[in-house]
Amino acid sequence: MSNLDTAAIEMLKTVMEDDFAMLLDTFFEDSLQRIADLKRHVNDRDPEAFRKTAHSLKGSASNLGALTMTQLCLQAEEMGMASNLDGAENLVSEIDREYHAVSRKLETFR
Amino acid sequence: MTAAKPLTVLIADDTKTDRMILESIVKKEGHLVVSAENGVEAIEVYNAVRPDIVLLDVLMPELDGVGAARAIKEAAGDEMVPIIFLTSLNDTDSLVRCLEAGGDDFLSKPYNRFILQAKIKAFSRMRDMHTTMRKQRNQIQLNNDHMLQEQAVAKQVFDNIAHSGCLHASNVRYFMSPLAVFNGDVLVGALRPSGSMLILLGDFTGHGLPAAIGAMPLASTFYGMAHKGFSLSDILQEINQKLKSTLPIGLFCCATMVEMNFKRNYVRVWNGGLPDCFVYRAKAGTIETVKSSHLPLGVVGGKDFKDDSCYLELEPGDRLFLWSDGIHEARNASGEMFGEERLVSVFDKVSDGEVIFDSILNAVQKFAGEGERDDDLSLVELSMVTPNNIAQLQDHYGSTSARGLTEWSLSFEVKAGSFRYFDPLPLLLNIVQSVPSLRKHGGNLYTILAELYSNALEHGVLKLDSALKKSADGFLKYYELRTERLETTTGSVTFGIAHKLTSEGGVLTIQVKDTGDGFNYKKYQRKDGNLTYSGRGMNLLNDLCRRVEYKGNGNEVEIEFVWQDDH
Repeated sequence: MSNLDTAAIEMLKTVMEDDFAMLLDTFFEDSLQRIADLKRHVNDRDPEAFRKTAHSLKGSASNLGALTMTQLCLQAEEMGMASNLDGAENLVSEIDREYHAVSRKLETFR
Repeated sequence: MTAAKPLTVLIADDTKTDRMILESIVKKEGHLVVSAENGVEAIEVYNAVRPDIVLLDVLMPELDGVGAARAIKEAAGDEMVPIIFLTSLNDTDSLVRCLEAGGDDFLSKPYNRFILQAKIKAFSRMRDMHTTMRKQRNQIQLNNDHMLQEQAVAKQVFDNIAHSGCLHASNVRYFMSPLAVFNGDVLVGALRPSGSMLILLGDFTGHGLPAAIGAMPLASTFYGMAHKGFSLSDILQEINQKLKSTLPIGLFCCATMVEMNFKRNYVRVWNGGLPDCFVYRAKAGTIETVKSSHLPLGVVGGKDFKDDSCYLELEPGDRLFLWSDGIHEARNASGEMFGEERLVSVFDKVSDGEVIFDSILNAVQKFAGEGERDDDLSLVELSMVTPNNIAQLQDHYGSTSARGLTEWSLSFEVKAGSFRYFDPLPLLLNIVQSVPSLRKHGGNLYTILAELYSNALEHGVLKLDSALKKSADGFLKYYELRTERLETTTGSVTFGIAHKLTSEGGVLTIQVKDTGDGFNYKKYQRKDGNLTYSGRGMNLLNDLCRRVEYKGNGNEVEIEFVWQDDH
């Protein structure tokens, strides 16, 4: 199910050169932090914070070519925008799973 | 590929991953990068570094991109700082807010290296253009300020020159639009030492400073000569020559020049290229026109320039109207020109000459309408009446040296020791010719002085008989005696010369007295006082002088040389 735009990754590698490894590390670090934040916002019932975090995560996921993860984050963003966090817990779990799947794939480009 | 000129790019994004990618792309293009993690930091960095381009994430902690954009645009003033918002393009509301905050463009995620490069290049070019434009605009503004300042100074200088004359004489009324001088209109007026008034209205071709600049030599020539007593023709000749030699081809001066003689109630009018000027006859209430019959000033040089003027006898109270084409060409809202017909009808309607001047102005201004009023209306009215402030006007010139030598007398004695070595004629002629109007009579004056001097010296002081010169031998004898007696003589010749002005010109009186024995002039005297005697150059003197009178023993002679204005 996980989906990665490998052409985008190849292009990033060209642009980043030696910094590509650091970029991956930063993305992993960022994403773990944001997924944890998402869980917290669900528990806090804070749709606005949920929306913002989902938006940020969507942005970096799309930059890393993580197409499915970007889609999931968009859903989460829309949920927060609608101030309806019903089913948000499941969505965050799905994002979490997708993140781990995509990060394993990303590792192979290192 | 690196850009020709590295730019400084501010990247403000709270997501480190995205920031890193942008930084790499921008650096790869050879630009410098400064970064910020939130809106507040972005403003701080902007103010500290003043980057050329700003990339702003919309959603950021502390202060979002929209707030930061507003602050940055405000801080930038009239400098152009392109702001590119980093956002996804699916949120229309936020796009609108970004634009309102001063955003210039958007870049959506995932970032595309080539799109960003293209945007940076485009904005860099736009920024360069803006900077150039701003520089040029400031330069233009500066130049314009400078020009206005120069015009103000030039106008002041010009006013000082133009108003040194008699435009405030009580018989002169004139209207010139405030900036008419920069449309090339010029009006000068002066009293000649004889009391007649000279007025010149000119309209230079073209507009602005080039047109105004020709007015300077015109005015200074006019005043320099008018106060010294030069005639209308002399002044026209001189101005024409000066303009011809100094102005570029195509720049010339349409002009009307008038001389008013209040004592004899006549005017002379010379019109070169200006619209017909009107003579209003007060008694009959009629108008006559004086058409332009000459080329404008500064067109042809030398003998091709004609200075002959039109002579008109006027009655006290008659009026003369001069104008530049500003009146005839004043346009109304529909582009129609005022024209001569309307001008004539103003004269038809009035019953009192006194109101013509204001009626013309009112009619033109009413016709053109307030908003459309042209800035080069020039109107002059000259009344045929001695200005009541003429004494004051003349005093004014008398106090300046510009008037030249007019009323004077001298006594000059040539003594025995000088006869052999010194010819007094050039010196005396030079003094006599310091009266401007006498300059053109130099030839005759020299003849007169030479006759008088040789009579006094040879027949008077040296006692030589002119009869000797009738034979060849006698002629020789005459000159032998002359040389011999010059060595031994103790006599002297005394000149008394005086000049005064009259209403028609002036009179030069020359007295010559010698220490000789004189001769019996009485037997040759006619009833009118002149002599029938043909010796001593008498015929010649009688022709050239109004009066030739011998006095005393005949060792003293007085002549009167009379000159008239403008002939």
